[in-house]
Amino acid sequence: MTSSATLDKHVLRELMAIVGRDYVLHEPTDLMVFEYDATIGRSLPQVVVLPETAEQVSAVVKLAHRYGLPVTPRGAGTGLSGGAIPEMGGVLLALTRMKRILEVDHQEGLALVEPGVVNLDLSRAVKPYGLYFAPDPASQRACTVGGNVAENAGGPHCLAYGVTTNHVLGLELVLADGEMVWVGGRTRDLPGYDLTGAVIGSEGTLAIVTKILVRLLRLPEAVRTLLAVFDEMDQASNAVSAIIGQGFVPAALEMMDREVIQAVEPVLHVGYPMDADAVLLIEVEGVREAVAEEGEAVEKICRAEGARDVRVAEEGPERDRLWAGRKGAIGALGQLAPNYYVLDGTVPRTRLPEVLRRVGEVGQKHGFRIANVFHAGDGNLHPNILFDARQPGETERALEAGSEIMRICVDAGGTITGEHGIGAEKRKFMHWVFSDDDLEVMSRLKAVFGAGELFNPGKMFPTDKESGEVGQAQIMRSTGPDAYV
Amino acid sequence: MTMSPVQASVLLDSLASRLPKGRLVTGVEVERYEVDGLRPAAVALPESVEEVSAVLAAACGQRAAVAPWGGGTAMALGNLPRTYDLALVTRSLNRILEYEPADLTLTVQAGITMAALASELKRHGQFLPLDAPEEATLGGVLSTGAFGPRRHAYGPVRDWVLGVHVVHADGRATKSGGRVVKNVAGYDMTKLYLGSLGTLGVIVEASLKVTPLPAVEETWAAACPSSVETVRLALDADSRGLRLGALTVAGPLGPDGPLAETRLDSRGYAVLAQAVGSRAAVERSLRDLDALASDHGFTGGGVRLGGDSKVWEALRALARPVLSDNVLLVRALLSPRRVLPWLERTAALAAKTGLAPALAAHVGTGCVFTRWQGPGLGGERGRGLLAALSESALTLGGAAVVEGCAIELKHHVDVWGRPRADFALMRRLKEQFDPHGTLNPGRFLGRL
Repeated sequence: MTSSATLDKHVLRELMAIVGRDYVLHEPTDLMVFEYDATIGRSLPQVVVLPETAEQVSAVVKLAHRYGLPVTPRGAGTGLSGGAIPEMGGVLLALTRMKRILEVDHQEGLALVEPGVVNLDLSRAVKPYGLYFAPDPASQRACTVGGNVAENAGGPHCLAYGVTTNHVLGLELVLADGEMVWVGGRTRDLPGYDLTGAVIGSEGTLAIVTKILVRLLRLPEAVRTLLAVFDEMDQASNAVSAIIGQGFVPAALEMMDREVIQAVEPVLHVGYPMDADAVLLIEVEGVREAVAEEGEAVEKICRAEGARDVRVAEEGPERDRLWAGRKGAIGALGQLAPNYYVLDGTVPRTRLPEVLRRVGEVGQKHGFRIANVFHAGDGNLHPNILFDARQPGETERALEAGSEIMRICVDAGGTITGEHGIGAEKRKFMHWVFSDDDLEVMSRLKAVFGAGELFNPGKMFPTDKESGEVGQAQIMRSTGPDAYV
Repeated sequence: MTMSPVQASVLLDSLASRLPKGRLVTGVEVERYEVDGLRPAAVALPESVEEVSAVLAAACGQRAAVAPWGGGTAMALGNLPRTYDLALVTRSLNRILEYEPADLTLTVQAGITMAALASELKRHGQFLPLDAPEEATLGGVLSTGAFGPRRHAYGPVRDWVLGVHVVHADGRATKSGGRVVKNVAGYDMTKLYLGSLGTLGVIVEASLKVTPLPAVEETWAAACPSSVETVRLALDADSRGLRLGALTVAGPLGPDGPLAETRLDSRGYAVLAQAVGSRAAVERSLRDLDALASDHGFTGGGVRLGGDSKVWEALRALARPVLSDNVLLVRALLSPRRVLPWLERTAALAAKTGLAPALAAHVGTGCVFTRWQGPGLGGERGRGLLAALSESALTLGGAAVVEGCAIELKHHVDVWGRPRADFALMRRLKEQFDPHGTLNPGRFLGRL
């Protein structure tokens, strides 16, 4: 639903009194900039407000509450499930001006940041202290820490270090009534319920996060990156299981299939062999002695599983080049087809060979090429369905293929999203993994926060089962060159 | 406030009609299931999730109060129960439901003991790196949290749990999370149940991440008369990026201290580190630790205590929750750099009271256990000491939680310390999940 109804002048005036005239956008041309995220599902907000402080957020929320206007928080808009799209209109709360790193405590390895801080900017700012922020979504040059918190974002290095929730110690929240409250804090394991853990990944539906206290990790002493080249996808999948099964948990363990290699190599020239069926990008890190040993062991396993070549890079341009292929993979897919639908699901990693085969079969059945680039170590798949939306019926068929792939993930004991969130896209799949009772318990959490339908209304929960289709169809038109996984 | 005999007999009838014979215990045997000296009317021993549901539905229907009970190793935790009618023992729910070692994941029923779990994992060279007594159940460990030496390297309980099945106060069974290592579908409800002392629901099943056992583990120690100096060394060691499975300052050393059974024969306090990883990585860590000890002027240098050191077991024992008239066991939660001032204050209090508390300071996480022992700690003397400790923790921006004390003391204090600004949300959470106060009423933070 798109609400283009303009707001009363007095509401605009009140908003301007809170954040300043320049930071309330209401002209149609301005609003259009904020109607989509990285999925291009579109829906116009009635007004965009860009606060600079938590106090301003609180005042805006109070006002919205009073007028019954929904509030949808937004970071950089790089999300891949439509989470930042203001489906019900109302106030779009763009948090990108709140981008100060308020404190870095390098002794304790903590940083206090505002939600609009860009993920990579945080890691860059703390690098002089030998620290970094571990969650590293491929969109990290653009995405915000606030967005990471909302979606519980992952990234290639989550295999060893966990996702966003494992790196956040506390949050300052603005609740639905405008009250500001801290949950968690710099002291670990405080007694009481883990409200921090409940808010992370709540997709902006419970509260507006206005400050984030994150844990920083120490940069490793040594890193070794390996690119293992396989003639058969199954060999690569088996290598993944063998590495983990033999007791190695690399920092990252990523896979790219033939379609991705063929999209990436001509554009980015990173040295992936064009005739390979799959490559694994593996990173081991830690103290020098361990890295040398583990690197050699992992290389040996890859060769034993049939790798025809294993290239090794230490830190420097060669390592950056190997990673450039991975991080630019989704963008490069634009070479292969006018549209692509990025999927996100997780399966137990030992089921990868079978699941990838079945994903391929879905593509064949519907006549689509499917490109796989994903976090193999975590079993977190990203099949990309390549299609042409200009051809009549293709969008619908791609949508159907996407549903079938999600179903395959669930049937293999997995889930419908590993890191992109439910948002608008996957509401209708929620019943595949949760019972009515499971969902009812989740709704009690919503009641605890008293947010009702104030914050990011309509997201995450299945509405009626038919209209879920609309949300997903919007996502389908999506995924431009700025998409990342 | 516990049930009248009539009410109790209605509850028992209701339970008996829902459970197969033999699952309900009454009479003298219930003695073993006292909580803070309160005895329940009955003990239920369900053998399936459905039976857990039936028990809770019956109890909730009769407005009875239930204490979930796993291995019973941490029942001394918490405030005095407001009421207590029924112990719900989960030990019979002890099956491993799914274990695929190459996935590094495992799904088990929550009543499995940590020993049984560890032995199954060990057969595949893996482990669940949480600190808990062998006879504790997994469900108990998830509900109480585990705060021991391993927390340093392996993180909190919440980092290892992928999803749980929970039976709610009204008997409804729901699940959260899943069995795979990355999952952001829906709210992360799992986090709420962990560390909630069973006050929101009874965990009956859990899916966990597990991890390979390190190829080599070697414990290293360096001793010094001053607790402050040992903490300085430990903090320095923590900043070096070494692969340490644990890093703790403990003492006092000597025949009366917590490490009496170990091979440490010095006086004062010890920095204890556990180097983990491949042989080469471990040797490297040990070399660096030796060099650091010498830089810090530890004249004795470092000693190696081997791979199977009793030290860590002793530290876990020190921190075990206990009911005793002569003990005050306090877990201070601090930011790591506040460990030093905390120890200075503790030393001052020790001098003032003439007591010599046993100490285990997990410096990397800011978790410090102080175990005071002496006559009269259940009375005014203990209250005074606790007030001073709590005040110290608060002024240092942390908190002090009582994990061992006399029942008498619990009449006067909230053992979890002072609720914070987010307590209003917690209260609403409890009301939403357990509106009739069926689950451990009164025992959690703020007497929820």
